[in-house]
Amino acid sequence: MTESKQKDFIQPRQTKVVKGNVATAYAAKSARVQVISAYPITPQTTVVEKLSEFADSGMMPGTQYIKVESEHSVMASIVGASIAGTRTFTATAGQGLFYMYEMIHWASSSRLPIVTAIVSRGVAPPWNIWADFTDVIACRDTGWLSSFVATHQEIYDEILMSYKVCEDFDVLLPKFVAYGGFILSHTSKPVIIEDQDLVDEYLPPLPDEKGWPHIFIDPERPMMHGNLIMPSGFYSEFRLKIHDAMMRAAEKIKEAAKEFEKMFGRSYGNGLVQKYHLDDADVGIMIYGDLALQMEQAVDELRDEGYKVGMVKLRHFRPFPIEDVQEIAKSVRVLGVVDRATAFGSPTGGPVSSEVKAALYNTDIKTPILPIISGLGGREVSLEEQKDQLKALVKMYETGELPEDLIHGTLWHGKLEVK
Amino acid sequence: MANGIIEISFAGRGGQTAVSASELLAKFAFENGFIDVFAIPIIGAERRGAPISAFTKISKEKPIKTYDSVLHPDYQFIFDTSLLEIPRIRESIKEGTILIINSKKPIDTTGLPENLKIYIVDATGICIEHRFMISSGGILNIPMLAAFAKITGYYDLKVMDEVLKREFGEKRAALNMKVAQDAYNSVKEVS
Amino acid sequence: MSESESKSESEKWKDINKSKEERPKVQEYKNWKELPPIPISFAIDASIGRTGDWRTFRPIILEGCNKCGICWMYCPEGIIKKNEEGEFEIDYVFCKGCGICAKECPTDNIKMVRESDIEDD
Repeated sequence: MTESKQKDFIQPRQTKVVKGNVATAYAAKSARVQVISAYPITPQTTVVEKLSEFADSGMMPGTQYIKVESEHSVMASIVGASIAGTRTFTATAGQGLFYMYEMIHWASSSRLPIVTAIVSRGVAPPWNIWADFTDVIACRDTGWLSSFVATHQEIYDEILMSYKVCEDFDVLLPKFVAYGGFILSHTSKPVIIEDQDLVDEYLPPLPDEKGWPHIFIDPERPMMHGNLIMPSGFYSEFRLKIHDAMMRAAEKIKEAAKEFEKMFGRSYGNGLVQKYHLDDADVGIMIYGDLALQMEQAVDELRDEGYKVGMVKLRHFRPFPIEDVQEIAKSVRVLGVVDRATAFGSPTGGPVSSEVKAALYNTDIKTPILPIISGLGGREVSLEEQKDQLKALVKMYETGELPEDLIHGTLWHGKLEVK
Repeated sequence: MANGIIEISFAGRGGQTAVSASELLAKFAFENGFIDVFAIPIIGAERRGAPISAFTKISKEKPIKTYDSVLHPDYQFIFDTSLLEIPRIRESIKEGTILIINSKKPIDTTGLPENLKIYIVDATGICIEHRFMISSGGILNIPMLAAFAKITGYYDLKVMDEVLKREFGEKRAALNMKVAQDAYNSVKEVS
Repeated sequence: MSESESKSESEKWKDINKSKEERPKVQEYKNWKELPPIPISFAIDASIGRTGDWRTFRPIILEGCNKCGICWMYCPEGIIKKNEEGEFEIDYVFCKGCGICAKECPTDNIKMVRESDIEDD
């Protein structure tokens, strides 16, 4: 991108009432992504529409928009573009993410700092296009960082923070930023689009013509990547390096969140988790994605009724905030974990609650955990229902007994029942 | 009105621009100083003519933290009188709900709660007069939202004009505002 | 945190960033911490050794070659070369003796000879 073209691109800080998907497109624009490749899939489609509009109208000079015929090709072309030394972006959802799955591993094992928005939706069949995080959680073991977003503003902010973390030379891994389909993607709220100069200052500089330090396309420095490693070679060691980078990313996420707060004034806890009235709480609830914002109000209302309840919003699933989870579980007497996703056959049936339990094993923390599954496939979870979930935990604290209607140890909340 | 948040519900038929009305109302209110706004379209398999719902929540003081849809709105838009026959919509109307109905003549209120405030505006007629149409009929969102401005004062025509200019450009905003002005002048209470 | 962990990651890719002349012939790493982020092969001659050692039968181009170039085209290792006179020559340092050239030669002009039968190696 030439200097003069960059100048036209600069926009002052403004607040717009926009759909979540439009906030995503604005984040990609603010981050000055150089290559976008995307294939439309509900409920992500408006991200693609808005980005192609930006690219076509000249609002994103220097950005190449690649049209492809499938999600598999999306990630293949993004991997190529990233290897060539560019900041890249794409977005997908549900079945599209699964179609992309093979190339997802190529991105992470090539250690490319690609940021991908996932507009999470239920997994078919039966067809379902509404909020459910099973899609992004199914990519748990791919070596991608992943985070859940609760508000429209957070979509914009989290995408910016993600580039800062992923492009750190100690991390160099791709990242998913997931938010609930329709609940955030198609609803509108005021979103602050930050001043371009400030965003430029916050983010690392775009890669120069030499590309990333570890992988590049340069005739003067030829390299072959993606080659075969025999079982006796360093395969296992390169896997370990991905895990090590992921664990180190936790610190980087905290730093990025701290710096973001300093620069833009919006706080997201320590980056990994965000607590709400948890300090003096007897009863805690861990929740992620869009359900978290409404849960804040449920906590407020129960506090008004005199219950000492608190909440923690899980912001990152990978890396999993093990130390924070231990500290939180230790500080409360009962902890509920709400999953808007399924992990069939796992210890709790919910992916995050299983992880929470695993994080507490071999510690002296004996806080009872209540796994809750709520809002699958975009099922609306009302404020009253969220208060009910908190009340179930309060009852558990008061009586010392688990609720009666558990199924395989888990509270499947809000099941339809004909009376 | 829950927690000082004004809740508005839209009942329309696919193609009657009720979903974009919910979004525009949020934009108008935000422009006019409401600190938080939230527009919720209920999206499924969209089809012309099928009943659709959308909601808007606007707040002057507190941030809006609920994502759930509106069960009993403070204001209920009815874009098409045939929608009043649908039980779900009838049941959502509570005592004190203010109805804004697209209708030429007063409607039959048998079976609805008492103490309703009902306003009617002939939005379709105004659209026909100004040729403000798409294939499925009039672009009803602008006249309906202009009527809402007159009824509530949450925003005025000037705010509408500013937002529409920014969103759609000067030329299109001008035609929109002619339609809006007519609806603003002609909305009337019938209860 | 041990010393090698505290060392900047950029130390680990300094060889990768050298030009092709300056790069080491062999990349040597003591343990996983020293490895660069991804496995990379450099473009150097004989990166997996002199494959001529693998050969049991040696292809020999006989007198009467019509210089059609089919052997050159089929050689999977790219080690048949055309000299200044337009004749084809086999680089026996890297020829692994697969015999594809002999099989494909349209005039049966390449003979596979057992290595142990060749006296003047």
